[in-house]
Amino acid sequence: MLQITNLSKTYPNGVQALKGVDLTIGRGLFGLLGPNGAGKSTLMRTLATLQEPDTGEIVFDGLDVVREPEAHRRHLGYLPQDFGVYPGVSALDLLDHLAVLKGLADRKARREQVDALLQQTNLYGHRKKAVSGFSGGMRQRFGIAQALLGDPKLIVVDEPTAGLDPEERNRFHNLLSEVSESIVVILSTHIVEDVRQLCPNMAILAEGRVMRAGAPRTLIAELEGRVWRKTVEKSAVARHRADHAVISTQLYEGRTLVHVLHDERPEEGFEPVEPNLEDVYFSILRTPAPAREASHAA
Amino acid sequence: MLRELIRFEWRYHTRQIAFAVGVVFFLGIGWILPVLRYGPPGTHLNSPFVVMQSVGLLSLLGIFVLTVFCANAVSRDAEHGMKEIVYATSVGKFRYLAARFAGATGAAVAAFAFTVVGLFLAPMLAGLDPTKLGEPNPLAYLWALLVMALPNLLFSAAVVFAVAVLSRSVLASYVAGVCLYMLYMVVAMLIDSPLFYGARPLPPGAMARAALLDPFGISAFFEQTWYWTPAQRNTEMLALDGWFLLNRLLVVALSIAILAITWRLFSFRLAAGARPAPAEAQEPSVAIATYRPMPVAPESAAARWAALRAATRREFRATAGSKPFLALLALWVWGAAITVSDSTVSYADYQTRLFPTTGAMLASLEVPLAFIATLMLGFFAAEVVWRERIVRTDEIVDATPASSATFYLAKGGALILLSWLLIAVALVLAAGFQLASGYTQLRPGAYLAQFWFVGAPLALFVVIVLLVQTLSPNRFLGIFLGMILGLAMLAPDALGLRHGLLRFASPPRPPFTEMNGYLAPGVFAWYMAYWGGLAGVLALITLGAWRRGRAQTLLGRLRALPRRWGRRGLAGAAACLALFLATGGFIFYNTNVLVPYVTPEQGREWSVAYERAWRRYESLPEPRVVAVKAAVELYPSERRYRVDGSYRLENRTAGPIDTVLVSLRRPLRAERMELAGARLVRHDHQFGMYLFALARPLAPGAATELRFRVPSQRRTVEAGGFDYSVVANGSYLTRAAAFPGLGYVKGNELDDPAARRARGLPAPRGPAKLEEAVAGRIGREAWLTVDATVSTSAEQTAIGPGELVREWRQGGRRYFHFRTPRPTTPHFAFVSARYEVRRVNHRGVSVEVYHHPGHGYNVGRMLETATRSLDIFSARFGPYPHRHLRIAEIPGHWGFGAYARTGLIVYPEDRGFLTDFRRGDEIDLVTRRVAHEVSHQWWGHQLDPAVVEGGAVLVETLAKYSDMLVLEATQGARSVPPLLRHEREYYVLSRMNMPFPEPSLLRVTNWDFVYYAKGTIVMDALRDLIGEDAVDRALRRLLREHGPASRPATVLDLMAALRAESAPQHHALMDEWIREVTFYELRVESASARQLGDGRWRVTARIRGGKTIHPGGRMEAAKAIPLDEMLDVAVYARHPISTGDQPLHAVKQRLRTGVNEVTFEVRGRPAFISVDAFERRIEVERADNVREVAAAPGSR
Repeated sequence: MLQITNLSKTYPNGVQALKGVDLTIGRGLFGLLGPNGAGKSTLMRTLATLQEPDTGEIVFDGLDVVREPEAHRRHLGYLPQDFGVYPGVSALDLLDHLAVLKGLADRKARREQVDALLQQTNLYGHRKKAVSGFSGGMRQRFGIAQALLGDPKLIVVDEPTAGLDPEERNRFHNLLSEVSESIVVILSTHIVEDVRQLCPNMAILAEGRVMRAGAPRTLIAELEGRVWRKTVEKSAVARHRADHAVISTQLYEGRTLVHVLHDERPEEGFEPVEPNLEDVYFSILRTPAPAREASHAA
Repeated sequence: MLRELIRFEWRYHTRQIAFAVGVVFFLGIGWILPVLRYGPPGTHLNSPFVVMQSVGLLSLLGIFVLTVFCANAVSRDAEHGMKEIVYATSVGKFRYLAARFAGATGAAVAAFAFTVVGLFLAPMLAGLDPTKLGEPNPLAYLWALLVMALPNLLFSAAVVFAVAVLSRSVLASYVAGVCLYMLYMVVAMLIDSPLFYGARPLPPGAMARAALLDPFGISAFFEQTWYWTPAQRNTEMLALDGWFLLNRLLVVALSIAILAITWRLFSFRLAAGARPAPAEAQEPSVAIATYRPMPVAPESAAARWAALRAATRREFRATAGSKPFLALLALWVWGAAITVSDSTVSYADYQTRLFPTTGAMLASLEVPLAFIATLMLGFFAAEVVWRERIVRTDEIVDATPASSATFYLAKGGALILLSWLLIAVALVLAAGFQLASGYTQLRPGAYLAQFWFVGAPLALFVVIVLLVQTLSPNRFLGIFLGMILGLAMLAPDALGLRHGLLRFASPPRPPFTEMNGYLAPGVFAWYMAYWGGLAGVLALITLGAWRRGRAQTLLGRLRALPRRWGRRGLAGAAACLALFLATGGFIFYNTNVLVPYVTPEQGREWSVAYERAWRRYESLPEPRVVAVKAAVELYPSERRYRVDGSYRLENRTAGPIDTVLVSLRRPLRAERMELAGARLVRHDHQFGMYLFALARPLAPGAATELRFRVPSQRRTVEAGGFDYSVVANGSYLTRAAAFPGLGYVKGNELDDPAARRARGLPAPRGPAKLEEAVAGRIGREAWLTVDATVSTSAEQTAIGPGELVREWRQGGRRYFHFRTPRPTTPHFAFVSARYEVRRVNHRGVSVEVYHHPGHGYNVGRMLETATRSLDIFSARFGPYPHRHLRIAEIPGHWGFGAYARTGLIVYPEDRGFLTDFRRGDEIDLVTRRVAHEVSHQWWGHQLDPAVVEGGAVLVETLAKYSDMLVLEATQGARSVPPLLRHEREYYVLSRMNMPFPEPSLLRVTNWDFVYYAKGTIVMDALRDLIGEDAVDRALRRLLREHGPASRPATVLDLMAALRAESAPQHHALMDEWIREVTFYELRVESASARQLGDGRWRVTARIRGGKTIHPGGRMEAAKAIPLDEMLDVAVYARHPISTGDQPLHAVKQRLRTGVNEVTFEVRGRPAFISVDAFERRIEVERADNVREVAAAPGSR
């Protein structure tokens, strides 16, 4: 169980990355959804002990993460958003090396786990090749393999699917959901699809605040019957934005598909649609700031 | 657009902190040179000459700044992820490279220019001695910057930039910088650059070659200014012509060529050498092992150890296996090989060869090894510390539970291993070189000890660079700061740090000698413990501020330090600090309390105070020491001694003596100092002076006794200089070092005129005038008898003055009782070591060589020379007065060539015992030196001249003359002209650096180029002029008339003796040579030969002659005097200098001022003609003395 309380972080250049984040996260995959610059990576790095918050508390299984980062790292697996590797070192050697750093001193156990991870991440055939020469997907799978080394109880993966092709993404998701059964896995992403596919629980982060948290299904249910859509000419988009609470606009065969949040049909031409997670996400992001303030307070 | 680009680059570089640090660094180093009084003596510290030389030398340091700027210029796109963006812009290849190059080079040049600012300002603001300064000339500084620094920096920048651009590796560009520097040093050595020669004569042709090939123009600078007088150096600017111009053009052209090639080879491609990613092969999904978590125990000892090993191995492999390191290693192999092979050349001794002893190997490697290892650590630390951040794997690694200490130790350990690799390579090369030259006395223990003596300071430097890189916001600044600290560590003297407690990891280290091994390893260990304690604190600070995760600000990290240390870190820091303070306290107690520590400035003040307090006693009539009795106890392993003895003092003055002043060398403290029948009136601890008042005045002819007991200073650790008197093996304890003296010590006075003036003291008195001796006011020190028992450790043999009376063992020690049968010169000494002895009995004289076991190579030659010298000198000058002649080897840390005591010659190991004659073509130095020292048994120990001007002629010039006689007898007449040539070169070059008017032989005191070099030439000319027999007769007369009981001789007596034995027509010339500073100018203007038939040729030559004297020895006052002398003219079949051939025919010709027509007949075709063919006259320009003989019309 991971308990985050009132976490704030302001960078020296004045950027307030986190503004009092509160979250409670249980076992399983947890999706952290937010646009670029929402503070996701800051939060992830803080969870990975790579950064200290200005204020706030993180407690994982009873352990104060901020105070005792060393103890926390023992059960931590972390896949950074963007990472490099030592040039010229093979996947096998590098995993073995990282396993040693994680405290797997027993050579046999290490060997067994490394082999298993290489196979599960489908890298076994490339284990003797340098990771620095891997393609994006392979590298990302290597990243998850290293995050799983040892005995992780909390796995933090930051934007793992960026740059992956659909097949690679699929494989990656499978792996994640397999390991997430008994441990906490936090996945940060700006792709709604990832969360929809994987996460029984999620939170939406924007401008350093948690906008909403809960099960995707619950969040979607809240919008039931309130989302409308209409296909309009591009020139009419501006008018619609002015008149309605537009959640999202999307190009569709050269024209624009507009989603609008409204308790009843906003005007002629709109048709009701079954809300999805994307609508939830965008509706929260589009909600005017004062309203958000209020909803947060509530 | 190019201008915009360059402006951008310029702004980029000059806004880096590294630029600011560079500016401060260069300003400081420019400032420091004048403060250290850099430059030849007699030349103004701000003269155009010194400015040019300083800028030339410092431009070598510019290389390192350029590496940082150039590396940064080409690597920053890649590292900051800008590569794709920049490469995809419309910037063309040329513009891209040109802008980057111009920006980086411009910034480096701008930083370097501050050197000149420092050089310019220091003389004005640093309070330097105004007599050592001239009018500041801003043009000289700009000129140096323009013609010296600019091409040098351009060249360095081109090389480093080319490597940086083409390799796209930051590390490779650093290594290129190091290589360039090392390459320069090695090439300079190979081409015999004047940089390494100082005032020694250069091999022929070397100067021009070096002037052309030295890419930094320093050799060309020396080539142009080699014979400049101080006045020229102070005023003239280096001219941009001749070799210097050619060299500069060549360097600029080479730089442009390098840049052009770089431009050709460079292309905008991404990730050099990246291969396409492996194709995704579908795995045959058989026997998939299932992943399961494995329990981890990162806190366990086993896991910590495993992590440390793995991380160290990873670091070490990544660096040691990297191409830049391998390149550096390869270069080091080359550089070390050359260094090692050069170590057997003895530059102090006419470039003779030495055996490749371990001592020679270690001495030659020590400095270059420390230098390259320091540079390597400075650069590679940046790579090692920042590795995870450079490859962007830091977030993964930092999130592992491995402790920061693991990473710290792994990185530090890897760097230490790298330095060991450099040490090991050097040692293997050295051992290989020894074996390859057939030398098998390897000393593996001494080699392994290098890992401690060289390795430990480097390990401490690793702590420093890790600290610097951890605290520095980026690695380029870190390199810069690390390098500055590294330089400070390598050359603490330059910063005025003399006390071992102030020199980080650079304790006073005596040289390793073959005889004595490592002197005082304990001292080194104490200092290492001391600095180790500090390093421990610094290491803990580094660890506490270690970058983990997202880099916090430095302040943030330092603030978090106490928390990250915790109680254990605090305890560790406290323990290290305690070690630092405790060892520091112990060292301080030894260096400053047991023995007062004296800075040079305090030393000057001490001298002033001494003079003020005690000079009034100078005129006190003194009794003479006529007999010495002493028990001298040597304790070699403890490096200490004790002298328990007495002097018999006799009043040889005409009046009674009631006061006796006794002096003891600082910082000795006597345990006993008593004068029989006298009361100690005053004991001045500060100056070691004892003033006794006799109860009853000592009547003329009466005697009394001074009893004393003097122990050596007991201390465990020295602050700086070592006393070599008593060491583990090879002690050499002189009377001056351990025995009291009588009267005021004039030698304690401050002798620098400016320093005296600044303190309100009168001008220095200088050496005693010749006239003082003529008037009988100054004589010599009284001769005395010695009766001494010297004891030493059981395995050593001790030697003292006189005959060995008895030898015995007692209480685990050996005792030797020596006694001189009759009075001798008063400066006796004692020697003790583990010796092997070879002796021969030669006509009643026991000739003995005491040598270190294994150093027997030249003992046979020494014995042979010694006996032959005894024969020659006895026959020519008079009988040898002793029944023994001992030659004792002493350790190489004594800097002199050899020293003759009465009946004993002490001879440092590397000045003859280890000379390697196997190649057979060297100057026979051992013969010369042994003959020289044997001759001092006549010149110095029989003829003991008055201590006034010209005295050195009677001792040293006559000894040089004597050794020439022995060399001639051994090797024939042809060995003489090369010897004279060498002496003349040495004389002509040395006098250029003379800050005062040059004394004639009549007035010479302590200038060896006069009494050695010029003296030898004059003596050879004299014997040619009046005949060898006449010279011998004169010398015999001198010895006969000025024995110990007679009036001591002066150079005037030598002149009188020579006059008495020679024809009057020679007297004027003889007088001129001794009394004046004379130069000849002889030149063959044309020469031709006509064949006469029957194999005979008639030679006709026009020879121009001239002669000048310098009245008062002042260089600028030259006065032409008429030349009218018989001079040697000879013809040769081949060039006489390059072949060393004997002449076909030689004649004496009378030559006068102006053009002389000379004609004579020879057998055989003469190809060359030479005037003053046997080098008996002193000329500055000798090249025009030899000329090719043209075939005259009508001959074939």
